[in-house]
Amino acid sequence: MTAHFEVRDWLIGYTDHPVAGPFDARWESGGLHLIRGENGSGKSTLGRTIAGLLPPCGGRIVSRSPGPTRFVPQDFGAAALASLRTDQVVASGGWEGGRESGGGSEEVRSALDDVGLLEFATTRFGRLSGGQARRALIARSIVASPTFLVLDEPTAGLDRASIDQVAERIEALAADRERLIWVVTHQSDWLRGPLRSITAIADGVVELEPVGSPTT
Amino acid sequence: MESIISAWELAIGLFADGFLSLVCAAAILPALGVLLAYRRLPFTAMAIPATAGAGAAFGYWVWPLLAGFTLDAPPTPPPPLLLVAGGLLILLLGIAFISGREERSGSAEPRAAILFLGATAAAELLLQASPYEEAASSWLRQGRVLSVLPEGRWRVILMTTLVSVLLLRHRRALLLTAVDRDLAVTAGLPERRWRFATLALVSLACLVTVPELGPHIVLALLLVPSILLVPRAVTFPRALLLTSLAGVSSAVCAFLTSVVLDRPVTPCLVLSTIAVSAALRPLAALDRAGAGRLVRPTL
Repeated sequence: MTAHFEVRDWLIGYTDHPVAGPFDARWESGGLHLIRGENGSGKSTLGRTIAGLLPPCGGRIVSRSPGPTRFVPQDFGAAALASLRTDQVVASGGWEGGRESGGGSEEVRSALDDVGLLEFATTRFGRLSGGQARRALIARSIVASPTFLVLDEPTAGLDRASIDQVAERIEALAADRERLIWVVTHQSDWLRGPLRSITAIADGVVELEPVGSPTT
Repeated sequence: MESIISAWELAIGLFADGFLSLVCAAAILPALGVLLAYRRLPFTAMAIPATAGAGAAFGYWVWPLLAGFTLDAPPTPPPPLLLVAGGLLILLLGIAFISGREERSGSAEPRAAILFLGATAAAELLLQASPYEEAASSWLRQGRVLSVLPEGRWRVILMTTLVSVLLLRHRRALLLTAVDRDLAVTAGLPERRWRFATLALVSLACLVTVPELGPHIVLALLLVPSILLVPRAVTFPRALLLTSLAGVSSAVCAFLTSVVLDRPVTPCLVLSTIAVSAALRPLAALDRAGAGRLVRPTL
């Protein structure tokens, strides 16, 4: 079953301060959806609005598939997480609605294995390198098997080797046809995997350009 | 050793209500402190007990005015409900004072610090102006663990049971909203509602325990174990359990020290909380493999 997310007349931004739009869009699963733009254009704002972290300034969601949403933030230096063991951080991703819906030990183990961090399961999150921390947050986001996944600048501040590792994991995630994935980035040369659409934001204008067809 | 044991047995027999109240408070307050520590709200953790203390002091001040008294007939002690109600009144005013700032700037901490200082000063002045001056001022500085009555003990036990049940039932939501707002919201947990729930639980615990034990004991139990142990705790259960363990161990140590050395409980408890929490820090960092091996990440 494929997933979709459709909006109409969406205006994104902060209270009394729209950043971009209005625009109509329909995103469907079966590949990656790139959101790109210059610094300050509003691409992260769009990602946070899709994830439900910001309310839209206007417009409405016409329809969206059911299922959980997860957001992988650009800034992962949350001090509160630093002391916790990586498997504990990942497990918290499965606490949907405050109940454990996907953070059991097997799911955590599998998610850590998926991102190549199983050997760091008992390492404190604050001791992971930048690339490892980013992959741990991706593991945390997938442990709940989300239908919608928004990755905000997933390679920001990483070296080439770490970028390759993250790109490889995102490519693997994109193979799942039941999951709708947005990647917010200002540089997309590192991105691999099937691209479904490019949402470009510039000077407050949002343009959605379909690319390719769903992966099979 | 025998004299220590006999002193302990005598003290437990005489002050059982106070001891039980102290142990209950010492079990639940540090666990609530964990939620505030993960939220980075140390000044709020200081302001809530201080505000509940100012409210109780307001109760001491206003009761003789309400009940009326003469020099021939000294005032009766204020009813405990009045002390709790006074605490609630001042606490609500305090929350209104700090929440406006929180909405605008995202942090209530600077105002919480001002609230702590203001509440402490107001409590001092109110108690000095009350006819109970000496006894009430002693309550403010040294608590009154040894004079807790059975009704007070039952109030503390009831509060501890209620807050423990709520904390255990909603532990994931309370912890997740404390450590990661974005993840909590995407997981369907309204952060503002759970922040309110956290402050409501802490406030309830403080409103009940401050009139019985004094503000300093409550403040120490709420703040010290969580500040010393949370930054070292590798898992959420470890943080909750170890802080409670530190609180209860400190309470027993403080009571014993107080009885044996004939010193007030409050300063003994503050110092023993610091010492016990510091001693438990290595336990907080033990990894799951256990066997005494500390986490030594290779990176």
